[in-house]
Amino acid sequence: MASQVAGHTINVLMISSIYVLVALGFALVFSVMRIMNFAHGAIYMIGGFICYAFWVTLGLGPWAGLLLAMLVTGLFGLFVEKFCFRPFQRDFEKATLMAIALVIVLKTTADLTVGPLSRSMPPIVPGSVRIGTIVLGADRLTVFLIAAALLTAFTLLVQKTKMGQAMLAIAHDPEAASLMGINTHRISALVCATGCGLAGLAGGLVGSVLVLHVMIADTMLVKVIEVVILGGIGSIGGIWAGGLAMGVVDGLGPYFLPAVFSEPLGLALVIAILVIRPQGFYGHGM
Amino acid sequence: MKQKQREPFRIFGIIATIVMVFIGPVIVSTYYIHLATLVFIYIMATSSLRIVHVSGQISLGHAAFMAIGGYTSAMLAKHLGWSPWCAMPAGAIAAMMCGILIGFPFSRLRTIYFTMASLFFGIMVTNMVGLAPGLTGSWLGLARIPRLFGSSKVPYYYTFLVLTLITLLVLYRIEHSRVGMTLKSVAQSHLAASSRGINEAGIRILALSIGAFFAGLSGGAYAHYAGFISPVTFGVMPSILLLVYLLAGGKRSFAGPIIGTAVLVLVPYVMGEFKGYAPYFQAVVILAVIFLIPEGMTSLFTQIASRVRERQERRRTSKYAS
Repeated sequence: MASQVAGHTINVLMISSIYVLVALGFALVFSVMRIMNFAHGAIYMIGGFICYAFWVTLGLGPWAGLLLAMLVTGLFGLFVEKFCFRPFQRDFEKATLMAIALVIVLKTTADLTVGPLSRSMPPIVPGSVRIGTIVLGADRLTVFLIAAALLTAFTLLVQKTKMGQAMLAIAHDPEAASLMGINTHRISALVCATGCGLAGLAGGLVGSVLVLHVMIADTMLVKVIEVVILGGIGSIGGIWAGGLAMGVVDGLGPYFLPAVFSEPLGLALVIAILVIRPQGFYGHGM
Repeated sequence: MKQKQREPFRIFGIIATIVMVFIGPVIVSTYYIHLATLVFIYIMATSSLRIVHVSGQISLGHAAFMAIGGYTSAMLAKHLGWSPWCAMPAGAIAAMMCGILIGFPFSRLRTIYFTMASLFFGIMVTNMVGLAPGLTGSWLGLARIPRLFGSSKVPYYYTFLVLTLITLLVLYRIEHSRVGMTLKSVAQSHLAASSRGINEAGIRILALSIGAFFAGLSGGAYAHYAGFISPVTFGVMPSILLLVYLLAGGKRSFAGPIIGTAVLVLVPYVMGEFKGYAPYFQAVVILAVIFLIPEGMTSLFTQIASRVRERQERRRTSKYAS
C-alpha cells in the first residue's frame, strides 16, 4: 500500500516536473519576447527524437543523448530567435504564422524521417530503489530528480542572478529595460535558447519513461498552454502550481474519471478560466 | 481611354472562366473533378473563416464548426434516416447555434486570448467524439454516411459549385453592406467603434455565427461527399490550414481565400509521388506571405500589373523624349 501511494506520488511529481520544465520555457519566451511560440511542442518532440538518435541509434548512452538533445535544441532556439522571432516581435499575426510554419516544418521532418510508429528508450537507470518498505521505480525517480534539479537551478537563475533580473525587467517593460543598459537582444536569445533546450531535454526524459511519437508535439503544446493559463504567464510560482495541478489531474484523473470525459472537461475548464480570468490565478495579464 | 481598351479582355476572361468552370467536368477526367469538388468545399470553409477574420479575430479553431456541421449532418442522415438534403442545412444551423453560444463568452476576448480560446475550442470539439462512441464512431471515424448522389462525381461538382457560389454571394453581400463596414470598424479600433454606438460584442457574435453557419455547411458537404469523417478530418491541423489558406490568398481581398485555397489544396496532388513533402511547400508559402507578399497571392497580380504598367509608362515617356 505504501509502495503504491509512493509510486503514484512519484508518477504525479514526474509528470508535473516535465510539464513545468516545458511550460517555463514557453512562458519566458512569451514574457520576454511577447511571442506565442506554438512551435514549443514540436521542439519538445524533436528533442525526444534527437535523444533517441544519439542514445539508441548511435549507442552513445543516456547521458550523452540527453545532453546532446538539450544542446541541439538550444542551438535551434538561438537560430529561431535570431531569424524567425526577432523581426516580428511587434506583429502578433506574423509571429503566429512564423510559429505555424516552424511547426509544419518540424512535424513534416519528423513524419518523413521517423514515420508513424512510436519509439521508446530504455530506462536511464534500470531497476528499482528501496527505501525502508517502499519500493520505487528507479527510472521515474531519476527523471523526476533530473527535472526537479534543472527546474530549481533555472528558477534560481531567474530570481537570484543579475541575468535573471534582466529577463524580468524586459518582461516588465522592454523599453525601460533597454534604457537601463540591458542588451534586450542578447537576453531574449538566451531565453529562447534555454527554453528550447529545456523543452528538448524534457522530450528526451519523457522518451525514457513513456513513448515518443510525432503526435506528442500537439498534446504537449496543449498541456503547456493549459498550465500557463492556469498559473498565469507572468509568474514562475504560478507555473509551478499550474504544472503540479495538471500533473495531479493527468496522473490520478484516469483512476476517477475516464479520459473520454476528463479531456473535454479539462479543456472547457481552461476556456472558462481564459474567459473569466485571462491573467490566470497568479501573475499579471499578457 | 486606357480603361476601355482593357475592358474587352476582362469580359473575355470572365466569360472564359465561367465557361471553363461549367463545361469543365465534361472534358476532364474524374480525378480532376474530385479535386475541384474538394476545392469548392474548402473555399466555402475558408471564406467563412474570412468573415471572422474581418471582425478582427484570428481563429485557430474554425474547423471545429466544420466538425459540428459534418457530424450533425452525418449522424442525422445515418442514424435517423434523414435525407442528406435536409441534414446538411440542419448541420449548418447546429454549427451556427454553437457559434452563437460560443460567441457570448468569446466576444469578451481579443487578439491572443481569442486565438488561444478558439484553439482550445477546436480541440475540445474534436475530443467530444469520444463521449458517444456508438453514435460518432469515436476516434476511428464515422463511415458509410449516406451520400448525396450515386458513384458519379459530376453531380457533386455542380451541386457544390452552386453551393459555393451561393455562399460567396451571401458573404460578399454581407461584407459590402452596413454590417460589413461595422465589422471592419470594430477590427480597426474597438474603442472608436464602440464610442460611435456600435455594439462590439453583438457584431462579433454575428460574425462568428455567420462564419460557423457556412463552415458547418461545408462540413456537411464534405461528410456527404466523402462518406467518411473522423476527428482528424477537422482537427487542429485543418484549422491551422484554413488560416494559412486565407492568409496565403490575401486577407484583404474577397478573392483571397478563393485563390489561396485553390492553389494550396491542389499542391499536394500535383506533386504526385512527392506528396509527403507538400507541407514544406505550405511552409514556404507562409514564409513568402510573411516576408515578400504580406497581402497574399491576390496582391501578387496587382503588384505585377502595376510593375508592368510602370514599365510601359516609362518606355512611352522615353520614346517621346528621344
